[in-house]
Amino acid sequence: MKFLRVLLLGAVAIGIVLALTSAPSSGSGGAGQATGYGDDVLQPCPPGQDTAPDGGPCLVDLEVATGETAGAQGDDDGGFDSTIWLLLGLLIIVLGGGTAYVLGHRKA
Amino acid sequence: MVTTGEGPAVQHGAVPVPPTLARRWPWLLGGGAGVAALGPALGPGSLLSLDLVVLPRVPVPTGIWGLGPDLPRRVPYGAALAWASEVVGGPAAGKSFLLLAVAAAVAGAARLVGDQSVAVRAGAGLLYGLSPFLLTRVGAGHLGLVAAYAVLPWALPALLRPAACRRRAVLWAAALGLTGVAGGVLALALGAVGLAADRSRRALLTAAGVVVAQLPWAVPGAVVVVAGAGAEAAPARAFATRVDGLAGVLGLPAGHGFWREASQVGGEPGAGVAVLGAVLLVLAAAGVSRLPAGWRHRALVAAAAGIALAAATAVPGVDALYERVTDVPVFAPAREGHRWLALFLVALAPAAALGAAHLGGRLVTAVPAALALALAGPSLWGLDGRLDPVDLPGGWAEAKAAVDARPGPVVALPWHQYLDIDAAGGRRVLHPLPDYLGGDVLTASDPELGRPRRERADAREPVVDRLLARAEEGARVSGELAGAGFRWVAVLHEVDFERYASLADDPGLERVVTDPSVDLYRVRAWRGPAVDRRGRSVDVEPTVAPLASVASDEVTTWHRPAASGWLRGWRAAHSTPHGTLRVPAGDAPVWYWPAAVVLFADLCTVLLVGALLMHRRVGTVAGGTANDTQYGRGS
Repeated sequence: MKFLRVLLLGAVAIGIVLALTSAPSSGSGGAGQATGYGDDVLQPCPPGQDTAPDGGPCLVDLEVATGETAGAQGDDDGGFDSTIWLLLGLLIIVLGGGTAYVLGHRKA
Repeated sequence: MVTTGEGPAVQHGAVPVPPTLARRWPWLLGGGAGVAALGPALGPGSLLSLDLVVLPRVPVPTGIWGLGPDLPRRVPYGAALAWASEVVGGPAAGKSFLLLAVAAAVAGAARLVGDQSVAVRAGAGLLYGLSPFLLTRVGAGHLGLVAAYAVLPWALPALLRPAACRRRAVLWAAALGLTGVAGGVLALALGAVGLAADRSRRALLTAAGVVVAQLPWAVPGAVVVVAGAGAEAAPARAFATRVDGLAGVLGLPAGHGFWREASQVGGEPGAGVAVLGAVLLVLAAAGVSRLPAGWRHRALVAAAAGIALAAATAVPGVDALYERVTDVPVFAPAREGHRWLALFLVALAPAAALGAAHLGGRLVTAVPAALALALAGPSLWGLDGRLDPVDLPGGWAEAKAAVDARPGPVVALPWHQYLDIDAAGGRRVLHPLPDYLGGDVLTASDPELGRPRRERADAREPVVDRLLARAEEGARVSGELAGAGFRWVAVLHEVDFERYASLADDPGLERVVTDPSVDLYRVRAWRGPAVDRRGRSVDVEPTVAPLASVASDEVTTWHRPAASGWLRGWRAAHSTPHGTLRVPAGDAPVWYWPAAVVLFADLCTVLLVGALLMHRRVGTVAGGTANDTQYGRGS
């Protein structure tokens, strides 16, 4: 049980740090098409250009227009490998969930 | 802490608190959570963010009469919101609505574990009420779903155990039904689980009650679809739950997965959200056996169905089946599968809070509240700017004053259903002019999700679509606009409004408002609200929306969107080539008979709810307790 608590609290601490340092969504329509209910879909700019063939914005413009938060930059620069954390999450589910469920049933 | 074995755990040795505070602190906590989430939105100003269009006046939805052309998504709660806006103004009504919804969600989830410690109740309440699922819908303006989500934890125990008290089950089904289609489908789903599990002899009667409680939204919806002019909703695949990889899967318990990524609070689920989602699942696994025994297993069934349906639109193969089902009009309200996630979250939150308490230690018990704050934290205080109040441009007020002074149908441009609005900080917004100007305002209803579609049952829309295509090529279209009965053309200076530059050179249009934000043109050749065969103006005096007196005995063209169901006396009116209403000759009033069906359906629900409210004797089943708020005993 103690191991589970430590594992859980460690995962919570890591998860909170990662969640709080990820880039928040802008809520705006973005820099692509300016109409429609859907998400904007921007195509990559042609090589060496900063506009789409039809003169509209493309992926280069998106980076300029929306920017990135310091948190997002830090996330990348910190060298966190999201795959590792996802595997950790999976491990937590399998081990922690199973253990907790078994313990829970025993007590009940 | 001990458990009874058949009910929730009971806390011994807790410091006694005054009964009033003990009852109300979840509401205070919820209110605080609401203030933290809404933040700047609570200041003066309108709200514009995707479907969140809260303007100085909230119009009464025509759907309460079964009248289109819009599909009645805001029925019936929109009527109450509109009436409140008449008293306190639209922004105050809309913001109070949102604040109350968040507070009720927190308090409702806390109530599901009502006999637990403060930490457990607070954890459950905050996990549920500050879930990115709810905050995303607040920011997207899905008010019906927001209200349904708030009512859901209150209704859950009653609907999952209808045999324990049929009266409560039907009343809570009605409460969910008041939130419109979003809550109605949740009520039907929970009611189905509860009734199937009860297998009571009187289940059919209860089922009938639950269904009758949904008539106020179901009947207007059916009427508009049947009587309208070929509206075509976008398919389920356009609204598929966003589940990208393992992070996406683990993001679902954390309230992620909304189909429109730009609107998802917290953005794309990354490693942090995935880890927190995993922790939530672990905690829920530890706590699920401690949920009140009376509805635990049924809630698990509903939760499993909820997450399965939410994920269905993201699973190859299953998504096609889901789309085929939701293409059937009766299942169309379920086309956006992500909504079903509410059924999962309402069980997950109390289970996770109980699980944390079970694993022991103050630190672990506080984890659910910490998780809630971590998931919502980056978006608190206005949801990343989505809820920044908007000062509407002065030109809009000038345009409204001109239209109010000489009312008549309006074409609202640019011709898009959703567009980026500068005044709203560049946010994507449902075209605001129909709500802002009020009355008969036509704009495009194509959500621009794949091939062109029309989501509004207005036969005038394709006509205006063709006219505007010609106007873009420089043609003068004022005469045809007058023929279709339009008195005004309002052009917001947003996105591609320059496409309609030729309107300024049309001699049949008089520009009466010129402003950096909007132009308003008067159609010179407009004759009146209706015209007879010789083109003479005919007065129309509506008594109420579906009943009017037309001041001519001849065949008359009434400049309103046509729909089958309009009669003059007992003779049917038809559609003109412009999509307006051709009223037959006669001296009888003009009326819309499906409104009578809608009103009858409303009356049935009101009578049912009234009878149940007046009937104070609480029905119980043997061994069950009626006033057990959790219905925690027995199973």
